[in-house]
Amino acid sequence: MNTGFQFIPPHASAMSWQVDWLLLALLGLTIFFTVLIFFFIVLFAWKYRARPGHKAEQVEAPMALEIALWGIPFILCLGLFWWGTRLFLSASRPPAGAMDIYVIGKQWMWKIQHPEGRKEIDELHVPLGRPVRLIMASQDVIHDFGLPAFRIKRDVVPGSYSVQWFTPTAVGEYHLFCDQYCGAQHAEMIGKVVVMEEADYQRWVAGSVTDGPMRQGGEQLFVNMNCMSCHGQWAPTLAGLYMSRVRLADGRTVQADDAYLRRSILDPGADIVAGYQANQSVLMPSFRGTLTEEQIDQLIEYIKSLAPAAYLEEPTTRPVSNGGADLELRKPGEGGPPPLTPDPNKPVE
Amino acid sequence: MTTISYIPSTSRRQTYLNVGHTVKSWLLTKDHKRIAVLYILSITFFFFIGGSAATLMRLNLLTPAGNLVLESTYNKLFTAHGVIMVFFFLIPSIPATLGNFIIPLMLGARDLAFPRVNLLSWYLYIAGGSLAVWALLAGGVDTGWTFYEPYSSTYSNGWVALTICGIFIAGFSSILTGLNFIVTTHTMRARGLTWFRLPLFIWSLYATSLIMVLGTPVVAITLALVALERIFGIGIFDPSIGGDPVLFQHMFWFYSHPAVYIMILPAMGVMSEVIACFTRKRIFGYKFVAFASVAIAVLGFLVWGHHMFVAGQSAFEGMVFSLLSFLVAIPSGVKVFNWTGTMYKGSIELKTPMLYALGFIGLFTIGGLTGLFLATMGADMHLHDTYFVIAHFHYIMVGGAIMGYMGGLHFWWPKITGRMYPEAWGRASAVIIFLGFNLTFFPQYLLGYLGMPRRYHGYPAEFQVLNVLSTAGASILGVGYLLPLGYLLWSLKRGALAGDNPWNAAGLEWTTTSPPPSDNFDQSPVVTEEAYNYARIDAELVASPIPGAI
Amino acid sequence: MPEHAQPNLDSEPLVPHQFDDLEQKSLADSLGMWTFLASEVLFFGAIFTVLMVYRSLFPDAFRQASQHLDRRIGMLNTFVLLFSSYTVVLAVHAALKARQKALVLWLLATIALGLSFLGVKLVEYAEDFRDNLVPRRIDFGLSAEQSRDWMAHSPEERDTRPELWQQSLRASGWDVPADRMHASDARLLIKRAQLFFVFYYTMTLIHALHMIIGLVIFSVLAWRAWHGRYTQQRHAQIEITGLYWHFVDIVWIFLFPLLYLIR
Repeated sequence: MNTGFQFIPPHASAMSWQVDWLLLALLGLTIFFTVLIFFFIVLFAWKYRARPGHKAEQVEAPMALEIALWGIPFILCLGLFWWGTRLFLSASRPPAGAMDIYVIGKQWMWKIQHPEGRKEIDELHVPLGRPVRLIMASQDVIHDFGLPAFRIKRDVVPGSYSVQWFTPTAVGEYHLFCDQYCGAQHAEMIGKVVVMEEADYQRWVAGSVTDGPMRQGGEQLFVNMNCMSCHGQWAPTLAGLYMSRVRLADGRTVQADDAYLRRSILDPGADIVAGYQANQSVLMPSFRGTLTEEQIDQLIEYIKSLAPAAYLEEPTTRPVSNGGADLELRKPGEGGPPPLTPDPNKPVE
Repeated sequence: MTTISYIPSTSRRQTYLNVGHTVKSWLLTKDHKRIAVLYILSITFFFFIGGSAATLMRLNLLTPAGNLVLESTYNKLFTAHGVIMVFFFLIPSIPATLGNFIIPLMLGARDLAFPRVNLLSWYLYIAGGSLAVWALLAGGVDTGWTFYEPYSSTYSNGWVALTICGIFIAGFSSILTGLNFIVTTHTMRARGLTWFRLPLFIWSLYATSLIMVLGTPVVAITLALVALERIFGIGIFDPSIGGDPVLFQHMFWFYSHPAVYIMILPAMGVMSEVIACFTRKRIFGYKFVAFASVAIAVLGFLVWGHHMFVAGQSAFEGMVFSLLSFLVAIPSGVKVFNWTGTMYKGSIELKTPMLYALGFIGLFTIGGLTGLFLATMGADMHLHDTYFVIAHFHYIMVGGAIMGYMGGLHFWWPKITGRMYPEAWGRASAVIIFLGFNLTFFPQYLLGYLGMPRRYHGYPAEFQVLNVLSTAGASILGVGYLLPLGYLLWSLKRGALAGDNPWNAAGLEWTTTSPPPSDNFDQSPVVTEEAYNYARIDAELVASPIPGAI
Repeated sequence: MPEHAQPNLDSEPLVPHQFDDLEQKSLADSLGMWTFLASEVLFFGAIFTVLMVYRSLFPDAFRQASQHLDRRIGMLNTFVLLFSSYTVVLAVHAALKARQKALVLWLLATIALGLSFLGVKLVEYAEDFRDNLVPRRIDFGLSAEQSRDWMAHSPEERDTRPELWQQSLRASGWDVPADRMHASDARLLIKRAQLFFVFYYTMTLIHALHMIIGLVIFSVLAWRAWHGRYTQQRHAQIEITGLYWHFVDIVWIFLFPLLYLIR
């Protein structure tokens, strides 16, 4: 990282250039109006200074001028609003095929977990040129994963996932700051993003001894926490679930994204799948307080690995093991497996 | 024709200042003017406490390691700075001091509608402030003035509940002041003083009062819930039971954004008075400026989510707040254009209040425009929670609100005290403050763009140059604030005696003596003309010049 | 009515010095109270908003918690308060007509009704405490009997056998799962129900505080009325306190369904 004085932070992504253009336009506007006002103030203060024989002239404000003074800024504002919103939206929507990396913020460090298994603290290694999607959670208070060289940041809120993405376009090391006050060592919760050539990254990620890829840990948990005793039988199958569309008992249809998976684990009663409104003895128990953030991430990685592709652009149908009430968007001509009706009165073993 | 008395005041006359000398006559006063003086003394006290915290912070930030003080101490310092400056200095400042003193005079009234409620306001303010100072002395609080959850309820180890009690009580002071102003403006205007003949200072303070009355209760409840969480150990915004920390932010900013308009609208009101007087012209586009004040107050309630673009609210919510934030900037811009337009073909004297006013226009313009950066979502995702935000709001609150306060204080100083301040010192201080301010806060825009986060006691080495410049500016700014403290106090005993209307200004407050008698007017004024009829005033001056007028 | 104590009305001017005339004073008093009530709307509105958000986030827990409140007591109190608003109207009317005896009577009636409300509320709180509807108690939500039985187990047993607790909860009227696998769900539900009760106590206590302030003011007004302070011209205090009281009543009209009648 450049430790010398700089006027402009490094540009580590294409987005960083786009943000800088927007900032430049805003700067231009600011300078224009500032200079305009300063100019007139100085001019008038001099030209109309009080002196013997000089009298003030009461001038009426012409309506046209007043309208222009409201109208022109209004139009400029609309333009900036449109530009800024578009940029923000594109920065909020990760492209298809982005690689997921999990981030957990806690007082006062960043724990980063690559799906292949490698973990790091306060450092994020990424390959050049590939979009990276950060799936972030907090273990305690609100933090913020701030990346000035990429011109993005997002709050990391306990209790939910937040997501941001970037595509690195320049090899190097860049600042990582916690950008939401989080307690005593907030200023020490800093680190770096290391962008490497693809080949170097592959070597790096295969590097040190790890606990194996995340999905392995997730699979282990799936067994140990007894998830398999229900899922695959009378609970919804998880194969192909990720990013499919799911109809819920209350009539809504949602996409089974990371946030949905997380909610289903921590608050299963919130989004019950249609056809599964059972009595409470077969309802999925909540795992809130039982699983750590790392474990939740591992489980989600495991569930994602059960889908044909990590991130699908088109909604898919997926095989179901229950009454067809929640079947969604069957492609034309496709039938389905014969439905198995769950018996809500069957006791849990 | 208004009743104008141009008799220079003598010190043997009975004024509100000498009508009683006992402590009791001050502490149990019902006179809005004495209450205003009590407020001036108290807010000055809190200003210097908040300023001391800032001094220590800037000194700590001279080095990248930032270990002049312990990191936990630094966190308490920036919290103290924010809490005291926002709740105990800026929010009451112009309304409780200049507003209290001048509004009844400007309206031609003998006092506010509810004098005892006014006194209660001051006592509530003192009570709240005392609790806040007690919390500070007991060890302080380190949550930031924003008290974000769940840090403030579950993780912080400071005097959170005590500080919140102080803020809660002071909030009622604010509500009662606003209530008094609203009722007085509606019901106690002098005969002939219609709404569109009112000075723009009244319009601004009226709009401010609307916000004080309607916004403050929300933050009172929100912070009270945090205090309840701490005291009783029940999570209200607690994610571990599925509660929502972002809900706290929505509730908090619902008040705290309009709060910044409480801070700036009164200063804008001062601007109108000062600029009209020192250009000898009516304000350009009077009605537009009046409506702009109300528009700012109303729109100000609709933009709170622009503090939360990256906090976890949906992009759609963000879009709504972004658009509305742009809209609220427009009436402010209109005011700047109108004040500049007022200078056109005026007859301009660069007295101290006018220097502050011109400084205000310049700095508020910069601060307001940098607000647009933050309203733009695509820019805010880079600048959020960096020093850019700090620079932006200090340009508005210090470069804007405080300069407005200083300008107003100097403008009405002769009316309040019967004395003139020394003009050369006044001008010098205004210039020193302007220069010191810019050196302090302009580098912070750059720091923010470079990525330096807020609330950091230390930083990477490459940010040091800008931090040193900022601290250097702060030392100059500090001198700039100490000078008025000195010469204004000096002027109380040694300043030149002011006449009733040393500025030949328009406005009913200038038609009575300096300082005014307890009942403000010997005869209730009747108004027959527009607010800033400088054409008539100057014509009369030419016809019969006043001996001894400045 | 004491005859010797003629009120020295001259020491308290009919029109305070800041006002030009009585009409201006009345207008100001009235607008002042309305403005204050506007701020109160925002005050209560803020906490109502938070309550509503959590009601939609935790529908089941809040519904069940609400059902543990005593609706009949709530209804009784609602009628008491409504009736007291009526007596306030009668008091104001009497003040306008300068009928001193009637004024004192109706003020005292209002105070009596208000005190009844508070008394009933105290009884209700006592019931709530008896039913352990107090947040943070480990036997929260358990009826007195169930609590006794459950607390009779050793702490170790209570920790390792959550199903005992769940069954006690069910016996106390809570619809929680009874099996061990769903212990964490029961815990979550109960925690959320405790949050409901935080809102319940906070909101009813703030309301009660407003009532107490109103009753104190009414007492002062009644005493003054007894001493003949109020005339056909001087009755603003009665009117604006009456307005305040109506507001307190309206707050309760919203509070009652929001807390007691969640379905």
